Amino acid sequence: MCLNRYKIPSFISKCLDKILPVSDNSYLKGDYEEIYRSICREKNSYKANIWITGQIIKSSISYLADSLKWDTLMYKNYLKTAIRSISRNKTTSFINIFGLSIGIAFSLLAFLFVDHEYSFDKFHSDPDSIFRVWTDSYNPRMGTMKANAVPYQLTLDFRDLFPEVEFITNVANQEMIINKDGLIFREMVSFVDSEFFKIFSFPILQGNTANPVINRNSVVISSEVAGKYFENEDPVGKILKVTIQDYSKEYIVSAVIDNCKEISTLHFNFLISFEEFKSRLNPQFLRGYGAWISSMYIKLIPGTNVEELREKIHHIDDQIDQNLRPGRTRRYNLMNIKEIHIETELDLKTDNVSNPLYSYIFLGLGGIVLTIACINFMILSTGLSAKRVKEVGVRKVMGAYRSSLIRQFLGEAIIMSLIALISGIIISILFLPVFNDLTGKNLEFVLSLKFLIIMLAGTLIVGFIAGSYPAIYQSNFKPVIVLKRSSGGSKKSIFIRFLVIIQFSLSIVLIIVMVVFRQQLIFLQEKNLGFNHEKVIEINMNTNPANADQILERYRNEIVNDRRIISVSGSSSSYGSGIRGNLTQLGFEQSDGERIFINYSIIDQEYFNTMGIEVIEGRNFSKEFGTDPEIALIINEKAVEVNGLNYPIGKKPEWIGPGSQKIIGVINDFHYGSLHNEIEPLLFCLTNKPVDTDVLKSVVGGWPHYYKYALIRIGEGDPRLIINFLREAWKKVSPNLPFEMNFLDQTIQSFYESEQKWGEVVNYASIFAIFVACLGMFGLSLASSQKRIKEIGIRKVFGASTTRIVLLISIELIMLVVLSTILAFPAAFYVCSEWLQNFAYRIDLTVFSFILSSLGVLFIAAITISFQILKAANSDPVDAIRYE
Amino acid sequence: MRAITKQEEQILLIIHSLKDRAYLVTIRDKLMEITGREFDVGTVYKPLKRLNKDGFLDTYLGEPTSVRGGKAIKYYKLSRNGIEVLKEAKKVQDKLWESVVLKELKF
Repeated sequence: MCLNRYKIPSFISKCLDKILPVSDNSYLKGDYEEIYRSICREKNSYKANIWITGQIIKSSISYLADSLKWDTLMYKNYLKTAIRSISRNKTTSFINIFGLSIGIAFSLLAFLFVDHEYSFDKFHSDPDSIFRVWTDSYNPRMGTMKANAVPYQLTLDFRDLFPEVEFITNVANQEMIINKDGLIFREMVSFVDSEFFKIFSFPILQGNTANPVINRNSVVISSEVAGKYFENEDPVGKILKVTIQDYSKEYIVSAVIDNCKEISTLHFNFLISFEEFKSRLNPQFLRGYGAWISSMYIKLIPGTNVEELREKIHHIDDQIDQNLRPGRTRRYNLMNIKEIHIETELDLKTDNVSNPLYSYIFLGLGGIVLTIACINFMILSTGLSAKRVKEVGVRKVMGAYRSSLIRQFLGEAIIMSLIALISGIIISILFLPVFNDLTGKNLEFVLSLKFLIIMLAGTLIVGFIAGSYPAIYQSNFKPVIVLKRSSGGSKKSIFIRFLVIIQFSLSIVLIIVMVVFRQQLIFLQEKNLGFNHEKVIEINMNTNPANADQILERYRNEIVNDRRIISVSGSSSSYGSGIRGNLTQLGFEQSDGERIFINYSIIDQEYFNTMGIEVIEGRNFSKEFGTDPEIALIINEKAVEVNGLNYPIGKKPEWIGPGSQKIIGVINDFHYGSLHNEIEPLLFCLTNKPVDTDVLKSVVGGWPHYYKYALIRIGEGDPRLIINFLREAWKKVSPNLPFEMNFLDQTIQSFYESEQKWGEVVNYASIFAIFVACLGMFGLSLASSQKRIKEIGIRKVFGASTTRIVLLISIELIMLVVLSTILAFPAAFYVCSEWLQNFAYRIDLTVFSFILSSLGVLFIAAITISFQILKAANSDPVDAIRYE
Repeated sequence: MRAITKQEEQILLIIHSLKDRAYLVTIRDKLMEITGREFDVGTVYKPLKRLNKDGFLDTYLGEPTSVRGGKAIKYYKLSRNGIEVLKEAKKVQDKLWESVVLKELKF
C-alpha cells in the first residue's frame, strides 16, 4: 500500500494545524489522517477530500466562536488594565491626552483648510474638460511674461482651428458704476459670450434658466449682489443702469445666479454680453493679434486627447500670427479649471486665487504640533514604565507573548488617542471661529463619511506611532530581572533624550519665528514712511477726464471752509498696494542710450501739504507761477540720487526731451506703497504737458490724464461725522457717482494684512507647541523625580542641601533644552531670513533676539519642572527610604 | 460527581466494550455502526475531552503508526469514576424500565 497516495493535501493539513486544539493537536491530526486514509481506501481520495473539507468547515465555526470568546476576554482585560492605568496616573494621562488633543485639533483645522483649498472649482459639470487658455510670451526687452489674457482674434480663430473645442467664451472684466435708483456702487462687470453657461455650471436661481445671457440688453447678477441692490424684491425684470465714464446704458436683469463664492476661483457678480464690450472698442483695434482684452475659457468635446490638443495649441502661433516681430515668441497654453485656484502667477485681482504655500504651511504647523504631542506621549509612557514593569513581568510569567504585550500597549495608546480625538474635535470646534477669522474662510465641520474615515484613520496612525516605541520598550523587559528588582527599567534610553531634543528644537524654532515675525511687524508699523499718513482720507472720484478738474474744484469749495477739513488736494494715482502704489512707470532714454525708469503722477499744488511731505530743496508748485503747469517738475531724493544730479534745482533733466522744463523742487523720500519694496524715483507734475510723449520709450500702468483721487486731511472731531459731512457734500457735487473713501492708514494696514494673519497663526502654533512641550517636560520631571525618590532620600540623609538636589535633577533636563537650542538656531535662522527677504525694509536678525527667545523657553521649562523637583527635594527622606 | 448525558453514556459504554482499542477513530466507527448515523470527528472529540476533563476517562499514549502519518494514538479508558457513573446510570435506567413490559409499550 502506497501511503503517500493517501496524504492529506498540505493546505488542508495547515488548516487543521490552525484550528485543532493546541493540547491534542498531534493525536487529533493522527485520527483525521487515519479516517482520511480509510475513506481513500474504501472510496476514493476525492470523496476523502470532500469529507475532510466539510469537517474543517464545521469545526472552524466552533473554533472561531471559541477564539472570539477568548480574545474578547483578553481584550476586555486589556481594556480594563488600560482604563485602570489611565485613571491611576491621572496627571500623566491628562497630559498625554490633552497634548494629543491639541495636536489633533491643530491638524484637524489644517486638514479642513487644505481640504477646502482642494475642493475649489470641482462643482462644474465635467471639470476635466474645462480649460483656460493663457499666454506665455517672450520679448527680448521685457523677458518672459505670463498672461491670463489672449488676443481677441485668437478666440475667433480657435473654433476653426480646433474642432475638438465644443464651447468657447471670452471673459473680460471691467470696473463700472452700477446705479439702481440712487444706490450707486463701483462694481466689477464681466462680459461673457452666450456659451458661458454651457461651460460653467453656476446654478441659476431665478429668471431665465435656459439661456441667461440672452441678448445685449440683459444682465445676469449673482445672489451676492442681488440683496445689495434689491433687498427683498424680485430682481428679475428690474433695470440696472451701467455707467463707465461717458458711456451709459440700462440693462434688464434676466437671471440671478449663485456665484459659488466659497468654492469658485472665478468670481462673477455681473454678467453682460461680450458684444456690448466689443461695441465700445474700435473694430480696427480688434482685428489682428494686438487686442489683449479678455481671457478665454473652453470646453472640450468629451473624449478629446488633451495632451495632443495642448501640443497643437502650443504651436499655432506660427500659423496665425505673422505680425510678431523677430526675436519675440508667443505660446498659448491650456490650464485645467481645477488648477487655476492655486496658480498665483496669472493672478487677476478679481479671482479668488490662493497660494498653495499656505496649505503647506498649515500642514507643516499641524504636523509639528502633532509630532510634539506624539513625542510627549512616547516620553511619558516610557517614563512611567517603571510603574508597570511588574505588570509586564507577571504577564510574561503567565505566558504572555511579547506580541500580545505589544498589542496591549499599542491598544492603550490607541484608546488614549481616541479619547484625544474627541476632545480634539471639541477644541477645534471652539477654535473654528478664530481660525475662520485668521484665514478669511468660512469653514465648518461637516461630518461626512470621508471626514470620519480620515479622522479615524489619522487617529489610529497617531496612536500607533505614539504607542510604538513605548510598546516595544516595555514589552522587552526580562521578567526575571524586573520581578527580582524593586524597580526596573530605570536606565534612560538615548532615544528618549533624542526625542526630547527634537521636541524642544521644534518649539524653539517656532518661538524664534514668532518673535522675529513680531519684531518685523512692529518695525513695519513704526517705520517712518516719510509723510504723515494719519487722518488722511482718499476719495476715488470715478470721474470722467472731461470734468474731473471741475468736480475736484467744486468739491474742494464745498468742504474746505469747514473747520474740520485741513486741506484738500487731487492726484491721478491712488496710494495703493501695487508694486509702486498705483503710479505710472515711465521709461525714458538717456543720451548714452541707457533707459531710465521713473514713476510719475499728476498732483495739484496742495498735495505735498496734505500728505505732509516736505519740500527739502527749491519750492512747491504754486499758483503764483503761471508757467508751473507747463514746465515745472518735482522729483524725490531717490530720483536725484539715481540720476546723479548734484544741484538739480532750476535744471532740466536731459532725458525728458526738448522743451524748457525744469526741476523746481526736491521732496524727501517717502514710501509710496508697502515696505515690501524699495523707494523708487518719483516725478510729479501739475499736468501732462511737461512730459514729452515723443521721447517716452515705455509706459507701464494707466496713463495719468487727470485727478482721479481727492486726498483730504482732516482735523479734530469725530471721524464718522466728518465722513458723513464729506458724503453729503459729494452727493451735492456729483449725485450720480458713488462715494468711495478710505483712510490711508487702513490702506497701509492692508499691505501687511496677510503677514499679520500669518503672524497670528504662527503665534497660536508656537504657543500650542511650547505648551505641549512643557506638558511633556512636566511629565518627564515627574517621572524622573519619582524614579529617583530613594536616591534623593539617601542624599538628603547624607546631608545634601535642597539646592544641590534641585540642581542634580534639573541639570539633565536643562542640558537637553540647551542642546535643542543649539540645534534650533540654524533652522530658525534659515526660516526667518527667507521670510525677511520679502521685505525691502526689514529688521536685522540679531543673535540677541535668538538668545532671548531661547532663554524664554529655558525659563518656561525651568518653571515647569521646578514644581515637581522642589517637591521631591523637600520631601522627608524618611518617607522615601523606608522600606515598604 | 455530575450526571452524564445519554451521548456520554453511549461513548463510555463503547470505550468499555472496545477495551484497549478505544481511541477516537474506533469510538467513532462503533458509534456510527451502532446508531447508524454519521458523526463528525468534532462531535465525538468534544464529549471525549469533556469526560476526560471531568475525570470519567483516563488517557494513555500509544505508538505512532504510519497509517496515521507518524502520529501517536491517544487511547481512552474508563477511570474509577467512569465506571461508577456507568453503574449509576445503569441503576437509574433499570429502575425506570422496571415496570415497563416491552410488549405493552404501545400508544
